[in-house]
Amino acid sequence: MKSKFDELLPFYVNGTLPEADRAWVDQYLGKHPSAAAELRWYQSLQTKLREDVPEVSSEVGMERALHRIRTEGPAPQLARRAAAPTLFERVGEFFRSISPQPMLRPAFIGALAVVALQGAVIVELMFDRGDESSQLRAIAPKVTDKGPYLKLNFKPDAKEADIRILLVEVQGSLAAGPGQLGDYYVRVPASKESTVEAKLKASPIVDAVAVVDALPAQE
Amino acid sequence: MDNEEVLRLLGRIEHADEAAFRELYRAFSRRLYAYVLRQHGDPAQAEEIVADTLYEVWRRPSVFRGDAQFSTWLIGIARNKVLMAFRSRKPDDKHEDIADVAEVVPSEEAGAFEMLAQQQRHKGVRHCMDKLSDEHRECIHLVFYEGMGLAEVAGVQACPENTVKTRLFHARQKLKNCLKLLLQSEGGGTLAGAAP
Repeated sequence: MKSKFDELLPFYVNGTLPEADRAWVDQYLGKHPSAAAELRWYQSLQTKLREDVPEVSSEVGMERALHRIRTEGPAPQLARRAAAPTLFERVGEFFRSISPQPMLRPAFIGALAVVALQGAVIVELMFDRGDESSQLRAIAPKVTDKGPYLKLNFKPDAKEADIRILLVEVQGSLAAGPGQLGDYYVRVPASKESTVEAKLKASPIVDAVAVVDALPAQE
Repeated sequence: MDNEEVLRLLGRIEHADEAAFRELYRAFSRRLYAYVLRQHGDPAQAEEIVADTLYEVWRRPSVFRGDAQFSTWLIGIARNKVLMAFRSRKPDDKHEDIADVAEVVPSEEAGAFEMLAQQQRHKGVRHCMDKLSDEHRECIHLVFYEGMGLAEVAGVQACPENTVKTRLFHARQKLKNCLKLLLQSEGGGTLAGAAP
């Protein structure tokens, strides 16, 4: 009993004892009046210790601490992070730096939206190849099969049967076409391009004919 | 200052707010100084340790999460600095007579506590506290000056709670006997002249 009292009494005095232990000490004090003297001594000791506060300013040592802050660093954690920002923070800072005054921000955002829309349309057009016939005329030609070829355009009233007969007559074979503009690319026997060209120009169903070096690219 | 206010100030200190640091410093420096001076004894070194302890708060404000009392956390930092200072201190005979004091005076005599409660003075308490070992003096300070609970003291002293109980018991005995001897010597062999 006494040893438990001795263990609990310091914390009874400083007020940190749980309620159950506090009640136990109260009960012990009630049964042992002589123990009250020990309690009073502890209380007196606590008072004396707490009153014996060193007479120093609340700024004791502050100048030293501030001197260290200003000379040694490092700055607090977030400030350090600001000194060496991450990529995300740098990107955020860039956008903050280019953003205008608050009152102009709606207009700025609108302009950005227009630019973004235009960009999207341009990208869409760049990757939109449409059908094969448009590729023939829209994409810059690249050499896929060494020419020369004859590029033919037939008159609107030319019939398919007449076109076939004409191609057989000049020993030509259809290499590409027709495109949406009516371009036909025809391969003819080597070194006979000029002869064939003249014969085709004389045909009543041919509108135009020209010698080209290569076929348009087709992917 | 409660932990909520402390955490608010620490949040500002994270953004290098020097005014917040000053406010926190003023709130805890004297209490910290009392602990360090009690343990170390040298006012100049105590001032340095207080400054260095609170400088650690500036360097790493987010380390404190509010799980314990801020003063307890600060004392934990200061304690390490005091121990480091002790290592560089030359040995002295500060505590050489405390064991004798504990042995000389028979304890638990009737009226001894009452007499001490009535007649002990600040100077005598300080004198006898200085005679205790570092662990015993720290234990008494944490319990009666800081008002820490058993678990908190054990946490600061990095020892089991039973060790704290044992330290408190022996510290109490030595302190009581030292005070009695002091009062007797001041009273010329009686207690009559030792009034506060």
